This record gives sequence, C-alpha cells and structure tokens, in this order.
Amino acid sequence: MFRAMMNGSTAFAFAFTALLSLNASAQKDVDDSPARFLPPDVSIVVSVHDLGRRWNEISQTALVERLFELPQIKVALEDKKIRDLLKGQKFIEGLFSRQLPDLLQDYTQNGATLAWKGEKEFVLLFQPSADALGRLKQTLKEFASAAALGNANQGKAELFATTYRDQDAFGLDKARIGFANGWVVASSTSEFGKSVIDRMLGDKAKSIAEESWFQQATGLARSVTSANRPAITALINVQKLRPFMKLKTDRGMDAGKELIFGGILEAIDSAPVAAAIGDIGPEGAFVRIATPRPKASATKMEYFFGLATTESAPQPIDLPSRVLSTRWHRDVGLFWKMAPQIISDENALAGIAKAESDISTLFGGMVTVSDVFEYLGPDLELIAVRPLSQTAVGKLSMQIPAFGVAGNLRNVEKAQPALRLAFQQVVSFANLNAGAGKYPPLEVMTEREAGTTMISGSYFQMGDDTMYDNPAADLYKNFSPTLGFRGDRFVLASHRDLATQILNAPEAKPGNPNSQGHIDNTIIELWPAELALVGKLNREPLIAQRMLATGQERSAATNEVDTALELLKFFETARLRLLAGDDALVLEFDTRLAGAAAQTK
Amino acid sequence: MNTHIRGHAEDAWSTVDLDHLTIAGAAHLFRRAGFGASLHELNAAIKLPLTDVVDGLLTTNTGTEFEQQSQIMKTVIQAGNLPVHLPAWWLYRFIQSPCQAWEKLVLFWHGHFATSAAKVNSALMMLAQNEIIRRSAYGPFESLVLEISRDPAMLIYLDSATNRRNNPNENYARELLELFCVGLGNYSEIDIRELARAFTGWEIQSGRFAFNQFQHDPTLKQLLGNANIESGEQAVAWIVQQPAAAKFIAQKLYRFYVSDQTPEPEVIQSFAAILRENEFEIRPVLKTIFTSRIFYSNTAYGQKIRSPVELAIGLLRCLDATASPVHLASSLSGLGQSVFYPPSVKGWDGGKRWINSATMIGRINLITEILNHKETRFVVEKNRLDKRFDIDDAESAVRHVETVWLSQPLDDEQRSKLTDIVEKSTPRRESRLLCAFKCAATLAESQLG
Repeated sequence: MFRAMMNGSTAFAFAFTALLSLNASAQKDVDDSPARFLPPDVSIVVSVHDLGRRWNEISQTALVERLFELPQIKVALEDKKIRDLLKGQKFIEGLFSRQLPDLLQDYTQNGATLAWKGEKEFVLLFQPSADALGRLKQTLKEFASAAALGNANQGKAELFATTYRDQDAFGLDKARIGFANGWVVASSTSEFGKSVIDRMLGDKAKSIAEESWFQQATGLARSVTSANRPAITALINVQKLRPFMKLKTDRGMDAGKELIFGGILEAIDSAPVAAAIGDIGPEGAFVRIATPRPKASATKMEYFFGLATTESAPQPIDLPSRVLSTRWHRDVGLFWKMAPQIISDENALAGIAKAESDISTLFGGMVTVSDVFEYLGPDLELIAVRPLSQTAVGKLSMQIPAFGVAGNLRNVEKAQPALRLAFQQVVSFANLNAGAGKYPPLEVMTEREAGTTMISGSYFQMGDDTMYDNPAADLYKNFSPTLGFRGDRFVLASHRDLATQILNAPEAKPGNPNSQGHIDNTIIELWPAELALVGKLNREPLIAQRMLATGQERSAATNEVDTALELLKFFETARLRLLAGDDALVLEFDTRLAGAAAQTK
Repeated sequence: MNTHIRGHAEDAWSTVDLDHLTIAGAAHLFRRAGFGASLHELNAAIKLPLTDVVDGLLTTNTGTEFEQQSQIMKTVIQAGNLPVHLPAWWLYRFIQSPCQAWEKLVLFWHGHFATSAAKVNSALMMLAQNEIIRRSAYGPFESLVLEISRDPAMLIYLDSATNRRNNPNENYARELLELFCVGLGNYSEIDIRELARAFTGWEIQSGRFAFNQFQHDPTLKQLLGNANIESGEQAVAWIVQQPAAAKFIAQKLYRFYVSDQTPEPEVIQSFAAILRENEFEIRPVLKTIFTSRIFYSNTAYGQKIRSPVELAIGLLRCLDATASPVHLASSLSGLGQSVFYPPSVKGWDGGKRWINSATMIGRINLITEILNHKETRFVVEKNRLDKRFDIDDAESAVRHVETVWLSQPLDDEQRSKLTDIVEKSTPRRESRLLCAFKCAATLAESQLG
C-alpha cells in the first residue's frame, strides 16, 4: 500500500518542491544572502517570503470567500486537472500532517530562493525550521527505502538516497535534493546542486553576489521598495536572457505606445538588468518592475518628458464618480515636432505625416496639428466619469462614461483662438456628415461668464424626437462635445456638464517625487467599483453582447455579467504608473481592495 | 429506409401515405423544414401524426422571453450601428429559436430578396428588412413584394431611392422582374422601363420610406400587357398575378426545400398550381411540401448539399448544443455564406456551388472547429454528453450520428470502418460521440442534407 502510494507520489513530492519554488529564503532586507551560494552563471534569482502566512491572510478575506461561491469557480474546481491537483495537495497534507499554508510557512518562513541558469537548469534553496527540516529528511528517507525494497518500477525513475561530502542527499533521475548547514538544496541536475553545496560548505569560489549585474539589480530592487521582506523579489540578467526569451533588440519605435509610456518601451528593450518586486495581502497587491535608466536615451526621453525631466505628472482633478484618470507629464508639441529625429520607423513617420495632413484639413487648413500641440502644456489628464446623459426610464440604451482631456495652455492669447477655431471646424465637418441623416446635427453655443469660456455642441432636438427615433440616435445623447477655458486652463470633454465640473474643480496640484525620489511620468488609475456602476447602467447591452459572443441563453449570460460586476466592486482602485528617477525607470501596478472585500471572516 | 417512395410527377404533391414518420423521415423533415433536431426531438415527433408535426413546425410562436432577448440584442447592434454583428444576431436566432421552420423560411426569402449590409451600411435598416421578411414570410407573397419594394434597405441596395420622374433608375425594376418575381424570358426591356416609372418617387426620408408625389411619374404605364398601371402598388399586384410568377416561386421553393436537381416540368407546373390555389399563402404551400409523397421519396432524400449555415446550425441542433455566434459568423463567412451579406442581388447560388476544393476542406474543418471551440456548450446528463444520448460504445455513437446527422444510411462496410476509427481514436466513452461526428464529417454523406 505504502509502496503504491509512494510510486504515485514521488511526482507529488517534486510537485511540492515546485510549489516551494514559489517561495523564498532568509534575508533581512532585499534578498541577497543566498546569493553567496549561487554560481556566477545564474540568470534569474527569485526570492519569496512568508507565503504560508500570506496565503492564510488572503484566504480569510470576503473576496476569496465570494470567489469560491461563483458558479464558474465551482465548475472549474470540477475539472479533472484541478481535482488531481487538489488530490496532490491532500496527499502532501496527509504526508506531513499539516495544512498546505502551514506547511509552506514552515518551509519558507526564512524565505526560499529559486535560481535559474537557462534552459532547464535551476536550483531551489530554502532554510526551514529544524522540525520541518527533520520531517522532510525523514519522509524522503522513507520514500527512498521503500523504493529500494521494491522491484524496478518498469523503467521509471525512483527516489534514491545518497550522500555528498558526508551530507544527506537524494536523487530522482537527474534531479537532486541535498542538505547542508540547515539549508535544503533542490536542483535540476547533480552538478548544479553540488556547486551550491560546495559554497555552503565553505569552498572559496566566485558567486553571483560578486557579479556586477546582480549588484546593479539588487540596487534597483532596493530603490523601489522600503519593505524588508516583500512577498517576491526577482533579479534578472536581461542581457543574458535575450537568446532564451527571444527578446527583440531592434524592433524600432512604436510611436503611439512610446508616446503613452514615455519612451520606456525602448528603454526596457535595451535594459541590461531588471528587478521586480511584488507583494500581496488582504488590503491589496502590487508589482514593481525597475530597469536602469539608460544614459543614451536621456536626450530622447526629453522629447517625451519635456526639457525639465524632473517634473511630475499632475495629481488628479478631484471629481465625483471618477471611473478612469490617466495623467501624463508629456511634451506632446516637442515630441510631434522632433518625431523625425527620434523615430526611425519610416512607416510610423509616414503615419504621423498623414495624420498631420488629415487633421489639419479637418481644421480647415487654418490651424495645424503642430500648432495645437505646441499650445498644450506638459501636464495632461484624461478623465472619465459616470455617464451624464439622461435616458428615459425603461428605455434600453447604452450609457457611455463622459470623458475629457484637461490641462494648461502655453501662450494663452494665441492658443485659445486657435483651439476654438479647430473645434468649430470639427463640428462643421460632423454636421456635414449629419446631413446624410444618420445622426442629428450639432447645435453650437458659446457661453462667457466670469473668466470662463465654453463652446459646446448639443445634438439637435426635433420636437417629439421622431426624426431620429432609433437606438443609434439615443447613443448620441451621451455626447455634447465641449471646449472650455478658464485662464490658462483648458478642457475638451465629451459632455458639457463634465467640462463645467472640470473647470470648476480646484486646479490639479503638481505631482511630487515619491519616497524613493522617483517622479510619476504616467499614471493610469481605474476605480473598479465606479466601473461596476457604469456596467450596471449598461447591464442589458452587456448581457446581449455576451449572448452574441457565447451563444448562451439569457440566464447564463446574465449570471456572467452580474458576477463580473460584483467582483469589480471588491476593488477600490487599480493603478498603473510609470516612474522615472535619475538612475531607474519603474513600472508599477497596484490594486487596493475595497473595505468590504478585505474584511476577514 | 422504408419511407423512401419513388416520386412521380402526377402524384408528387399528393399526401404521403404515412400516419407517423419513421425516425429517418422525421430527421429528414426537421433538416429541411428547419436546420435539424436532436434524437429527443425526433423521438417525440414520431409519436405524433405527421400533420401535427408539420403544423407544430410551421408556428410562429417563439415565446415572449425569446423575442425579448432577441430584441435586446437587436437594440445593442442598432445602438452602436454595428452591421458586422448582424450575422451573429441571426445565427443566435437560428440556434436558439423554437420556431426553426420560420427562421429557415426567413433565410429563404433573405436569399431571394438578397440585400447586402455591405452596401446599405446600416444595421437599423438591415434589421428592419429582416423584420419585414419575418412578418410576411408566410405570405401572401404580394404583401411581401410590396413591403420589400418600400423597404429602405432595398431602396438603397438597388438604387431605387434615386428613382426620379425625369431620370428613372431601372435597377430595382429589372431585378424585381428577373430575380424576385417572374424570371428571365417572361418580360421585356419595355416592361423594365415602365415598371421603373411606376416606382418613381419611392424615396427614403429620415431613414424611412416616403412617397414623393413630385418625383412620381403619374402617367399610365404599359406593363406585361396591362396598359392601366399607374402606381407601384398596382404594378406589384399585376406582376404577382402572372402565371410565370407562380412557376418562378415554385421552382425556387422546390430547390430550397426538396432537391438541388431540376425536376420534371410537370412537377413544377403542379406545384405552381398549388401556389395559385392558395393565393400565394406560403404556410399551406409548405405544409403541402412537408406532407407530400415527393418530399419523402428518393427524389428528395439526400438530394441537397447543405449550405454552410445548414451545416453549422444543423450540427448544433443535432447535439442540443450552442456555440459562439460571433465565432460562427466569422467561420461561415469564410465558407461563402455570411447572412446579411449575400454575394450579389442573386443571393447564394446554392447546390453544387457550395463545394469546391477549398471549401470542402473548410467545411470538414468547420465541424471539428465547432465541436472543439471553447464556447460550444452541450446539454449534458450527469456531466456527460454520452449519457444524455445513451451512447455506450463506438458503434452506438456512429449509429447516433447516422440517425440524426446523415441524410442517407451508411452501408455496413462504412459503418464498420467508422466504428473502428472512433474506437481507436478515443478510449474515453464521453468523447466517442463527438469523435464520431468529427470522423463522419469526412464522409461525402455529411455534406448532404
């Protein structure tokens, strides 16, 4: 019986070590102490801490409890692969008489480190408690003894016991588990494991800790977190990984993406090293990826960041019912003007030239795109709020969030007339198309009051509205495009009410460097609970779209949509940030759970 | 298959001498009148008298909930003016509608009065046309022709909207005579010109049909031997009364519902007479087809090549399955049948034109693709598809496919080979039925409906 269990479960024992590979090792600050045991040709070092404790904390939250009530999750748990995994979990828990999170905590409380050389060569180091170490060794001995007593397992590899330099060790095919000085070393090959144990036993050999890339990556990791023991830290030799990861080095610049992300994509492409930090808890989670800021690209980045590269994206305009806010510190005018010098891709340049020509034609040839962009100051915010349109009760319609771009103008005296002219030209062009009868024309109105100028277009009302009595016409009720000014502030919004709200709100404050001295260059911030409310307003269209996409009946589609909307409510914010420092570029994603979701049972 | 009766011209349309259908007969009826049926539906059908089954098929009571669902989807497409999503909406109806014969008939008229969203470019107008066809599908034919002649989508598609008194546009008039009502050889160029004049002033205003009397030519027109025609309405009524119209529509219905092969002229003559006797009401005419001797004869069994829509929807209906309409729409477009986007005003040629070396592989792949797609869902019993249909082994899986999917029985050698392949391809019981469908897809018989 034991043997049968063991034959089937040697795989589980190794699956367990693989699970542990998600965990980490003992360090006081950013993980570098096991580095002295690792050979210099390692390319990635991943360290994790306290996964068992974190697992326990997260599994107690209301969010996880609700997740497991979802029909989709219940169905997924019935999948054979998932059932096998759960069986494996039960087996391991039975073997060690401990729940898996407690087991993880026993084995990774001092951290665990996974190092990867390339191809299939890896090593996992962890330093469990003395009890846990003893239990693991004993279990492996029992497995190995049972295997030795049994017959050859039809050519299949069996666990066997051995020693290396008088230290206990076990093998399975090419893989090895060794014990030395309270450490457990699991490696994909004997040689890799031996090289680590040799260093643990005091051999003087060069380690990765002396490698300059590792030191640089460690410095980067330290520069993006003040936490002592983040859940996960990854230090990556990007240069060395290129052949394995098939990373492109000369893909050319994607002008659109670079404009959004401030040139960081090209910087990442050429980065020699990277560090990633992640943490998770009942309140939320974050991931930060840092690369050195390449000196060579500093000049180019001025075109994205503006000449004063120390300035930060603005803080958000404080409005009610925000769904999305994207903020940049970006000199669009300079980028547009210098595009031929910073973009090498001829197609992208041709696209920019065509856009310049087309949009300038749309502006009636009296204002050019370059003119408009030059008037825009570097601090910009794209903001979306809950729909402002009024739809008749019981009438099915799509309600689109109101959105607008706000910022400051340079050279106000020239900028305002130019923008007003461009806006009027665009409205005229739209009204020409409206002549085809597909949508109502815009009626333009200019209002001037107490230093505020608003030019807004509203869709023409035809008395009883029978002229455009169709759902497509209802869609246009979401829009009353507006251009507004107050002093040097401007706003271009999809709805007049939003433009008014933005101009009446306190002016956005300039951003400040964070505690690590990094400045925000781009911030994309989402309020999922508000998004859920927008989804609720559009529930029927969302259900219909789901039915078309899946062919399901209404009840199933309704269930999916309602579930997604309910899950969104559990998240307070989700944020993607691009930060720039003197020496590093950092991409950060973080999300915070709403109070109710983070509550524990 | 003892229901196969040899068709004779003289008694082709007389009622078949059957009180109840066999399972093969029921499968044939559901395939042709609709898109196909599962074994459970077929078993229920064979317990009922044939006329009851046919009456049940020809209803238009889809139920309030289904129509509400459909309406919401329509509204979403209209609101975003997304003509590209039109095929998905209709495919959803094909899969889910409880009135399969109605959907099939609407598809027939859509191919007959072919109008493409590619030119109309308005989801609202295309859906309105679909609604017109749906409303008048069961006739009378004259009402349908009249409504289509005033339909904004058709007015745009065949340039009728610019048909002015001083400059008549003959496009719609030509197609009405040639493709919609009487067919080539039954009219002259003069008739086209006169008919175009009758339709002058039929315009679109604010997306709706409007009669502009200032652009209408009020003088009398001489159309098909009648010199007393003034308006478009009179012209339509006169055209539909022509003997050639009954014969023309009879031919098209025959090709769509009975066989791709050209029948003896007497068969069409007698069918045209039935159309006239019923004053072009389509429901009784379809009932005649579905209870006729010829429909249950070798003249009809397996004598049609499945259109891509029939292939895909038929597969799903046989299995009580649903699939992603958006994905299906894309696949069917690749095989040459994108509903709402017919290739020309002639509609789809159908018959052998569905198959060439490229589409043949595509049609086989389509079946596998549908069955493997992540959004394809099956009604199961105890989490197992095989249990729902009592599939015990490879042989029962093959026999199930033969019953519900294939229009002609396999011979013993074919059945044995197929069983062997299914047996060897999958040891898992729950996979055998789908495996049998995938294997059967490679048989030529799978292409016949």
